[in-house]
Amino acid sequence: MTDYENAIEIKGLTKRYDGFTLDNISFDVPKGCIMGFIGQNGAGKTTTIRSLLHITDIDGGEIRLLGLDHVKDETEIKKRIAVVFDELPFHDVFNAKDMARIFEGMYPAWDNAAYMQYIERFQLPLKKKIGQFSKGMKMKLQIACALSHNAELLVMDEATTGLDPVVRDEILHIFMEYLQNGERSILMSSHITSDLEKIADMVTFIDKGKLLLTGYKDEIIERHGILKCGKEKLTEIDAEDIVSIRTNNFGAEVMVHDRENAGYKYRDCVIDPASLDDIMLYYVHRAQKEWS
Amino acid sequence: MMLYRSLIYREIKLTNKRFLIMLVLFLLTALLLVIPLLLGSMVDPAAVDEETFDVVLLLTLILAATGGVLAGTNNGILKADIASGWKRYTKVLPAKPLQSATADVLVKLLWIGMFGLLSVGFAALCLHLTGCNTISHTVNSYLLITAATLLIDVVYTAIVSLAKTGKDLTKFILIATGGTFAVFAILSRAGGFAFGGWMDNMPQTVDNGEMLTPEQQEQLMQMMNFLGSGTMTLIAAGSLAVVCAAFFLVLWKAYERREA
Repeated sequence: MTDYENAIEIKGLTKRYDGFTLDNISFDVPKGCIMGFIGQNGAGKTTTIRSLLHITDIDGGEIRLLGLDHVKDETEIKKRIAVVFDELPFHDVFNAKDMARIFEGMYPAWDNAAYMQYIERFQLPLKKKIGQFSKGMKMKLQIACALSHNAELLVMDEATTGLDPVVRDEILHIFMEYLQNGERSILMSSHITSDLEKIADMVTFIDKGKLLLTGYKDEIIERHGILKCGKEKLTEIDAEDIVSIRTNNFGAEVMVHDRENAGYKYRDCVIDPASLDDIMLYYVHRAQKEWS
Repeated sequence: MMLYRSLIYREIKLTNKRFLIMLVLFLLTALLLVIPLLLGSMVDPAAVDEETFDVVLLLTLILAATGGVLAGTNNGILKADIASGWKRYTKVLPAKPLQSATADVLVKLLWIGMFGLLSVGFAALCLHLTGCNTISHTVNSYLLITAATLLIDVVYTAIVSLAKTGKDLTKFILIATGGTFAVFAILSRAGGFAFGGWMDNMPQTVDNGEMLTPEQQEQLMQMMNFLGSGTMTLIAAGSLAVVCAAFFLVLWKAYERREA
């Protein structure tokens, strides 16, 4: 077993498709951390995750998981990580019991007792065919399988998408429990920022294949603000303070990337805190500068 | 070992219904074929004549061919794995491509062994009932037909494995079907050559009312003798081994291949 500081280290990840490029992405997920991976649909989240899991080959860059090379040490890595996809990749004819039999031979650290506890906790039937499960049940089964082999890193690609708020909340709660010993880490991609706001320690935000922000969630939220003013006031605001401007009939809302500084500079304006959703929205429109 | 047990368990669990249907089909065919032997006057192991031997040989060859086709044919797992997303999921599991391909081939060999035993069992039953020993013919023809069917499956698997998701499947299945027809046509033609043009002369009826001329009868007898010979066992077993190796390589490559 290797000792490592960062569960995930991505340096200069580049992957080119016809019409889309994941361009020089770099970020780390420290050990014991939940990293929210945000971006709108098509931003490159899934491509990044597929690259780091070596589902796809990369065109450039370096990826290390648990301190190991993602290609060279693939088998070792895959014994120690768990992956949850947005859709259940298990056959409909199997049941929860079958899945335990399949996984117990695959993972040396498979814990059948832990699996049964999750099955019980999620109130999943053991012998009912997966094909007859609801979407929520399918996701819970996938998560039960992912959490039952003592994985040090959990990678989730839009795992909570399409689930109702009650199930999402239950699942998020389980993830927080899972992380309690400080030895485990989670990378969770989602475009539902409210989920990440609840549980993430850090966030990485990508758009159109480019990394826009990465860092501790609270710092990012604290740093950004929405300055509210009349349209005539816009000319007084330095362009370098602005991420983008949203205009409406009553005035303008300006996303500033240094709330504290903006508070000193524009004392006559109200600056509201920004949510991750706001930050994502204003950054997506950064090229337009002004949008409504 | 635990890993192989898991992989094989998954495959068997996925294919057990298909296997049962095929088994029933095979046993029904065997029953249909054995009825004439049970009811007819041939059930006299003490008095084996040439005609009885020909009939028994024909019946056992039919069943060996049925078994070979059922054992060698595609078991539908690859298609189901792509459609369910399992194929992509295998890339994040600790099983190495080599191990996954080995498990697939082991399950295929299990089927081949199972239908092979049943085919030989049928030939043994015929031997018991009629005294006609067609076991070596059965083994050889079973191995040949299995190899030919598996060769078609190799082409099918190689093409279908290029599909990444359920959406790609239809396209690749269509291409694979075309590919398998091409292989089938080639194999049929090769079979035609192997018969040395003898088949072309089949409709010809000679003066004494026999279907075959004495030369043709002689040729047919030689062919049947060759089919039951040790040389043919080597050729058939070698062919099956080569095709199994190709099957393994195609699967290995499919598990190793990363998405674009």
